[in-house]
Amino acid sequence: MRSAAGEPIDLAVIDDDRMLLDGLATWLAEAPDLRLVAAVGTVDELLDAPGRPATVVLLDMRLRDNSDPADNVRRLTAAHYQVLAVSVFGLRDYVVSAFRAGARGYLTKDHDLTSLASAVRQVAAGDTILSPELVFSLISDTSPDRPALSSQERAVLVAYASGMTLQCAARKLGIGVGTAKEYLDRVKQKYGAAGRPAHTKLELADRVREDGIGH
Amino acid sequence: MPGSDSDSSARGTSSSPHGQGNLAARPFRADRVIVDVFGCIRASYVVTGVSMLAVKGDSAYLSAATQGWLLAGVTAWSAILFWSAHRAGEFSRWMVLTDCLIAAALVAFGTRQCVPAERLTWGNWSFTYGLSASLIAGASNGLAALPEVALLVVCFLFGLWPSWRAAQVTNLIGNTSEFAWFALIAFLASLFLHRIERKLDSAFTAQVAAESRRAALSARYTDQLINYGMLHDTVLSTLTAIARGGLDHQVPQVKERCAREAEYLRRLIHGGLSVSASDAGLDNVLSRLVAEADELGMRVRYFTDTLPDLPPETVTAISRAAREALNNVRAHAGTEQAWIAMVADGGGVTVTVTDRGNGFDQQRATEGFGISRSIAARMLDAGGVATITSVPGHGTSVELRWPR
Repeated sequence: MRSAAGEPIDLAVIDDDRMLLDGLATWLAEAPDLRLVAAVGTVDELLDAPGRPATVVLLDMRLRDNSDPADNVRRLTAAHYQVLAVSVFGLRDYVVSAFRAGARGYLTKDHDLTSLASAVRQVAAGDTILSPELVFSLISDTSPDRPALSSQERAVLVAYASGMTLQCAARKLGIGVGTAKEYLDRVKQKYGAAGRPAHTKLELADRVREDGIGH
Repeated sequence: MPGSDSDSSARGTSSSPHGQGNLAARPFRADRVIVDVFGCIRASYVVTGVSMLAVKGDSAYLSAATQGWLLAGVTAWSAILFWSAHRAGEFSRWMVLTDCLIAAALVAFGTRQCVPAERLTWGNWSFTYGLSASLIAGASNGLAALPEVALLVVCFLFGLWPSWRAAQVTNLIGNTSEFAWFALIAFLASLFLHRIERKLDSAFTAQVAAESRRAALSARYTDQLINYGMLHDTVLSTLTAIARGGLDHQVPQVKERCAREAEYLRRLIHGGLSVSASDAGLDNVLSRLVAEADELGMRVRYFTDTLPDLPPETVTAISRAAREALNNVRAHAGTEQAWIAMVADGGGVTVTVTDRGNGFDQQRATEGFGISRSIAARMLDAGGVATITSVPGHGTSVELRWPR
């Protein structure tokens, strides 16, 4: 579900850090187009709430109920939320698996309001954000079932992971900015972040049902 | 074979299977014990010879004077033998052979020089001397001492001939076979002693290994203490101050301080609390560089992966170049934010220092701007290369790669 341009974006936060949630509420008060509509401590609490209160969910990767971050992302994505994963400190394997489970991006919690707000807006519009911390985890991903990247795609990722802007990365690789963006988009697709990951047969069945194919 | 074992263990470290600890530190050398003990036995038989000569005089021997010379001769030889063997820590092959030949000659000649009645008694000190030679042959050569033992037996029999008497057959067999028994017993004793030596050696090696592990753990503990010290000085005191209300967390400086210390914690966790304060690896050096930059008000994000070991000159060159690049960001980029990323690249490493600040036009850059000569020169000298990429308004990136 995407927000129409100009409408306020409804944001839910799943995080058990009370202090952070309070701080975030104060913060978001300063961003007129973002509305904090729910702040809960587990995925269950959000999914149990009636209807679908928000568009974008800020999901802390490390919740007190010790739930697997990737599972959390999958459940939220299945319920048609756009998930933005956040954490104070990201272990590479968790970051990668959350991304592959359908998270639209990963940010460390030390970003300022401007970056966070802009990230939320992008995600609400349906984009996937590749932050340097996310990309760095991707390039050091050594799991055997990782998607194969071409050398140019990897080169763009490496440049991006080191903090370069897209323009700088393109200049460094001697390609156009549009081409660089294309490579990044391809990477997003390869990581199944186009929004419809199907990891289990059950989910595949869900997808099929969604599309109205089959019974 | 006891002989070959003694070769490697006496000659010590590089040829021994353990190769650790030096010879002097090892607890027990079987061969040296054998040399010393058999030296005492030989000495006791020489003393027996002297006392036999003194007590029995001409009554036991054809010529006491000859006996005296024989005794003096073999005593001198034994002194040389045992002194060299003690120095070397073992009996060498040629020592054993020479000793046997001398002993065999002595056994033959000395026995004949005895009065026939005395030849199978204690008066025949040459015989007992010959036994001590058999001991040495058995301990050093084991079952391969057969020729030496056979030689001694033959010489003894030759010495006795033709005065064998039917009545003395049991004595004859008993005495002759003693050569073989002594050699066998010495062989078994030597095997046993070497087995003990091996056990002691492996216990010693294990102890040395345990010691060095303990030392490493102790060093790690010290490093952890240092880290805890730093945690105390930074994170803990900040948190405590905020809790007490003494620091207003809304104030920009305090916020910056919190952000820096959070970054420090993050790095610490990444390094598994094993960041050694004394470690000169590139990761640690760059971590410290980032911490210093943070102190100066920059916000540097540091990403790193597992790295190969690098030679110290390379670490120095890269870290100095990175420091200069970071200084350039502070001076020219117009932004506080920077990224330092470090990735392993085959056997080498690539470090990038990036900002999303002003950038500059590379076509028009002059020498003093962009990569300063020293960044490029440092990397070239160390066998690496520095490249810069910049887009006006979209930031700058300095890439330091080693090797070229």
